[in-house]
Amino acid sequence: MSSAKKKIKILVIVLLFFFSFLIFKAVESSLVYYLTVSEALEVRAQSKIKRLRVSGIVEKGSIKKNMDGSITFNITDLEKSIEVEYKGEIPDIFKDEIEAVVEGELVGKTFFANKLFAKCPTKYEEDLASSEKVSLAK
Amino acid sequence: MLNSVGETLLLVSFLSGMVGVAALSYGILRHDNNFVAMGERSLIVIFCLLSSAVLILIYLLTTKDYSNAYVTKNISNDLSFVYSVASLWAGQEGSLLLWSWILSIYTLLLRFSKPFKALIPSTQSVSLFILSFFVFLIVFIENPFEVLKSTPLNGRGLNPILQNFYMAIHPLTLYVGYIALTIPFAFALGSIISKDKTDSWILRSKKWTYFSWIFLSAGLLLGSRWAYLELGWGGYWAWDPVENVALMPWLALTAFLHSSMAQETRSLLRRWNICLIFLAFFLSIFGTFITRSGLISSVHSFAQSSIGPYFIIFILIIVGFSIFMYQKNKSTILSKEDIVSLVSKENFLIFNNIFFLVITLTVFLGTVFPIISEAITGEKILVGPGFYDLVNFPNVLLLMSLMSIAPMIPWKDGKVVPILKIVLKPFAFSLLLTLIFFLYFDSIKVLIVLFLSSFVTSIILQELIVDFRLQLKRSVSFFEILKIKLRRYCSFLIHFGIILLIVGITLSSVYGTKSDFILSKGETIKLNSYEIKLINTYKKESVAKSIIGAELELLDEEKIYTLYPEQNLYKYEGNRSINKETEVAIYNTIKKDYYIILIDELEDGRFNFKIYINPWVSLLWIGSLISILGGIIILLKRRD
Repeated sequence: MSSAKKKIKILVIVLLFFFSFLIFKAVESSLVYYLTVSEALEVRAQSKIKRLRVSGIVEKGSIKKNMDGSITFNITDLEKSIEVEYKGEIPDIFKDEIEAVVEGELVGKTFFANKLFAKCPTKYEEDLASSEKVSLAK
Repeated sequence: MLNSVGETLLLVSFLSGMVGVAALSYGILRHDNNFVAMGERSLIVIFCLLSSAVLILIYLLTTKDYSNAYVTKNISNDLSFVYSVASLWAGQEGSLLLWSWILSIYTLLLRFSKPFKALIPSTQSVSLFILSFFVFLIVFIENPFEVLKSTPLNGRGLNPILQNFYMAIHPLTLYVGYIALTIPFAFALGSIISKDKTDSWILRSKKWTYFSWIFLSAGLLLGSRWAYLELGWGGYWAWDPVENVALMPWLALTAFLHSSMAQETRSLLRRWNICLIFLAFFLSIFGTFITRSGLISSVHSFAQSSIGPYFIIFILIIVGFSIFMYQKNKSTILSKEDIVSLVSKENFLIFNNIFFLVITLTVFLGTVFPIISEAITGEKILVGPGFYDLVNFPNVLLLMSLMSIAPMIPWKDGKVVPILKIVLKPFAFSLLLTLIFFLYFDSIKVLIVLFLSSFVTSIILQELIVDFRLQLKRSVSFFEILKIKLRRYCSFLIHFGIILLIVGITLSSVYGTKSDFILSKGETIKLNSYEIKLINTYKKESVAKSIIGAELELLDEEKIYTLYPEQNLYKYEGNRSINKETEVAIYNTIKKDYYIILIDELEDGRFNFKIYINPWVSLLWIGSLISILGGIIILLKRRD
């Protein structure tokens, strides 16, 4: 092996160590736990976990507009539910009974979210698949 | 009737794909040209069949034939002609059909490769195998010609979010680029299969890689523009899994475009290049798998479907086979020469590759982190945007440093002193410039980026000036220099575009602000340095939707901007769950984008808004366009 190649190898190894360390640090500092509503209520006791992302179904009729421009609603995993307070832009598909994902912190009984994602339900496609489709091949 | 014709066409094209792969493989193994010719003919057959199938589906979509399940799912009576055609790629089945059709065009085009004939059959067999997999999916799993028992009077309609210009071109652009990656991969694997010891696969596939790079770049650009302008997400990039999987092949491909120069010029890094293009292709398949299987939750909604397991099997086969063939023939793909000096372009290209791959790895880790963490700890853990920023920022700085000096370093064995002489003046000049920037910007992050940007730019400018003087002295015409150095100038153009892009991203993310505010009619609010007044609000009714809008006046730096953010409510909902659409109001200037969203009307009649002030976003768009332009010129001017 030429000396140039050796030097390159050493440099590469040093760099890779540096980047592994960097990635490790970055992961540590940006962790967000992704939980269901019940799990979120359970881990609330553990104080070290701050930032949470919680997914659940928006309870029917629970969406309320507040005077300061924020909204509150309940999300549920059909066992337990949490009240969510959120301020910010609302996704177009957000409404009752859809799956929503909120990110923020759980303080007391209220989840203060600063991010809100809504998922497009694909239920109707399944309905279509089970009831109406027939393949011509048969 | 047409549905059964379409279904039959697909079935036959799958069968001819299988026959073609078998014939090509047999012909290559036995050196039998008759079988090879048979395989090549099957390509024409598949292309014709798939083209007809695409035409039939477009016909069904535009005539709104609701006996077809795909049409019913994606179209409604109120949909215009253009979006009816674009619905070809609005759903899973249509997308896969389109995917197969495009790949069949590419595979067919391989026939017309004049030189390196020896490489073509094995390349075609790889490409045809991949094509057959996609055709398999639309024949057996996601059939676009499925028939409904009873024909409904109206369809479920296209999601209103998808009804805009970007929907009509963004997915298509991305597909064209994504799929084109198959061909360089097929060339690489083909060269291993046919035990080709030359560098012809690189030369042959270079145009494809540029082609793919251009379309992937344009696709990414259109995607972030779409997110920025239409979706009201406030940003152009959110590190969402779906964005990430589109970015990863681009990163690997960009690394490959650099490292393949070492093979073209000095026949170096031969094994490395094969691995790299394998990686780029695997990432593109991985991306397709992620977006199409619904494995990772994303803001983007794609129809979840059952193609996941088939994709896993396909990935295992293609990755396994590639690695097996590579291991088996590794000894034949040795580089003849060696890297002899640290001060050489090839060395710098290696480091370029390392930084690109670290970024790729970072994006990959961030994307699959929830899956890994769930498998190991049982808990789903995500990494936030901070993760990407923290790791990628130093990488980008290192890449910018390389971008400045690497183009000035000669191949093989360079001397340090002449290189220092070249970079000294630009270095001093950029330092000076950074001092001036310091008067305007306080962030260290921004100043480092601005320094490196001016360094890259002034080195490029210096070379242009030197060339121009030389031209005056020797009275060579400008066009002659341009002819000789066009390739180099284009790479400068691409680099310069990327520099603008990086500056745009840095400035907008460091100095971007957002605020929420509530106003009643006639009221004015002062936020930071600007003032906003709600002049008027209005309600409009049209056949398809009702609109709530606001007229806002924004006063900033002694200029008045009028903005009209709106909320649309679609009347015909069909079975779509989405009937609301936010129309963001944006006022672009070169320096700042004023970006206002009307969130909703409160019960007391006041209105709730959100404003983003995004500085220098324009550089991001301009820079991307310049880079893409550079790529297009290289592609068009390349001879082989």
